This record gives sequence, structure tokens and C-alpha cells, in this order.
Amino acid sequence: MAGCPPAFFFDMTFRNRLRQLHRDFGYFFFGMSVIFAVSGLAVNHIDDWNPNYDIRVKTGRLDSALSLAGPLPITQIARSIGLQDSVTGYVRSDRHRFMIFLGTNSLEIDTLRRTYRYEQVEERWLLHAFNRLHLNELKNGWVFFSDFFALGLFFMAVSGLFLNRGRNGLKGRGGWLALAGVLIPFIFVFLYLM
Amino acid sequence: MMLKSALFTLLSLSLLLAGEAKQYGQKLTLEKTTPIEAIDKAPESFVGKTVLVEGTVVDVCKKRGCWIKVVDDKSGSSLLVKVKDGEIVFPLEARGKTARVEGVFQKLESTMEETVEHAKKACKLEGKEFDPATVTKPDVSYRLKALGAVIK
Repeated sequence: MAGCPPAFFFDMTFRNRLRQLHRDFGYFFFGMSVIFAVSGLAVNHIDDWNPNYDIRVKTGRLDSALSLAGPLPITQIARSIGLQDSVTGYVRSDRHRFMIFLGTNSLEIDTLRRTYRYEQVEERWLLHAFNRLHLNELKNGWVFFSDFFALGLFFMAVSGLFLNRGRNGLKGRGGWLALAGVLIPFIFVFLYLM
Repeated sequence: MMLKSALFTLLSLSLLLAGEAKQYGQKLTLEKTTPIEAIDKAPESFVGKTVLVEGTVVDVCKKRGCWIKVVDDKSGSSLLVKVKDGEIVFPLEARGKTARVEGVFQKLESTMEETVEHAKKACKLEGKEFDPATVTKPDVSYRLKALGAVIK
């Protein structure tokens, strides 16, 4: 048609705009992508390790000189084990057991067996924060931003299909790779969920 | 100067928040608490009922924050409080604090295979060798499916 730009003009503009948007979304969501990737790896292996806390357990027998007959000598018990933490409280947790709280650490005493179990907890704070964001613990305003991120990912996934043309594009290698990426989750669905 | 006052405000705010009660899940609707000891003594009579319990948190699920163990300070009776994964996440810092939890009391009956699996896992966690002879009958356990909680 006379006066209209050729088809490739629209095509070029569309792809260029898509590239610019894809790039800017990529920059903007760089932080979120890293958070979700790191947390995703951490949470995927939650059965094998604790991604939120580093927990060290020390068990042993109580000093035979300690008398457990009357009120529990908490400070002496803590000292005899070599603990420096200050006691923040204690409670009877079972018929013969007491749980002593030492901040985030805890010391469980079995008065019948005269044994102890000391649990030292250290938070993996950065990873814990990433996991809490990933698992949407904060709710409220965070939901909006993570929804925006999800939509952004969707846009990047779809726009990524159209960034290149030719043999590396959707009609060539890109198409086969995209198909493989779609098929893999479907294979798992058919094998294990149906 | 400005930095100092900002830090002071932040510190004061965090100290104020530290002692504050924190709400998890739905708001509590019941006012009268049921002693954990009473539930512990006659669990069958509470199955399916919605109750409000109060006690000290002695343990928290360390990986997902999906359960807490609440103890009645006087009797030493305890109750496992479970939440749906992700719906409520209890922090490890809840240990030693007082929890008021409202929820539905449930009875869980495991099959023999499930009981064996649970025992195997428990032995693995404690670093003990599993002896199949120790499992003689299917496990029956009780827990409170929490709807809401306040921890302070």
C-alpha cells in the first residue's frame, strides 16, 4: 500500500522495543532473580540441611556432684557444662525433663537419666531472609511486589522467545530448546503425578 | 547527630517490639483456655473440638516453622501444635515464650508402615540404630491444628 512503511519496519521496531523492555526488566529484577534462585536451591534441599539455622547439638551426662533433688540448680548446671550464655527462663517440659532457655539456645535436662542436650542455634540470617521473602512470609505489601516479579518473569519468558529470528530464533534452535524446556516438567507430571 | 538520634529511635522501637505480643494466623475468638493437662489426661473427649490453650513454647520446627510444642508450666503436660506449611510460620525465637493457641484438636492414626517409617526417621535424627522389634502396634497421636496464635 502506498504511503505505508514496509512490514519489516514494524517488525524491527517491535523486536527492538521488546529487546529494550526485556533488558530493562532483566536489570530491574536482577536482585529478585538472585534472591529466588538462591532461596530456591536452599529450600529444594531442605530435607538434607537446614537453610535457616545452623544448629549444633552437644549431649552428655551431668556432673555427678550436682544435686537434682530440690529446685533445679540451673546456673551450676550451665557452668558445669561450660556454657557462658545467660539463662532467660526455664520450664518443666516433661515428668523428668526441664528445658532451660539461653536466648535462642536451649538446654534440656533429663533429671532421671542425668543427661543433657544443649542446642546452639545460629541464624543463617541472609539465607533466612531470602527464604522468608521467597516463601512470602511477609504477606501484605510484599505480595504486590512479588506478584509484579511473577508477571515480569512471565513477560521475560514470553518476550525471550521473540528476541532473535532466523536459525537461532523460535523457528530454529530456540524453538527446539523451548519445546524441550516445556516437555521436561510435563514428563515429570505424567510419570509421578498422574 | 542525626545518625545518633536515628539509631536511638531504631533501638527504642526494636526494644518496644521485642516485648510485644505477635499474632499468627486468624484472630483468637475463644476467651476461656482449656488446660493442656486436661487434654493430656482425656484426649479422646476433645477430638474434633475447637479449644484455646496456653503454655510455654519449648520447641519449634526448625526448618519450616510448621509446628510448635507447647508445655503447661505446672504439670509438664505438652501438646503438639501443627499448622499448614506456609500458612503460619513460627519463628525459632518463640522458644521460651508464652503462646495462646486456638485450634481444632485432632487424632492421628497411623498405619503400621507409617509407624515403622516414623520410628526409622526418629532413630536417624537421634543417630540411633533402628530396631524393628520396638514397633509393635500402629501409632496413635494427638495434635492441635492451629487456626491462630498469639506469642509473647
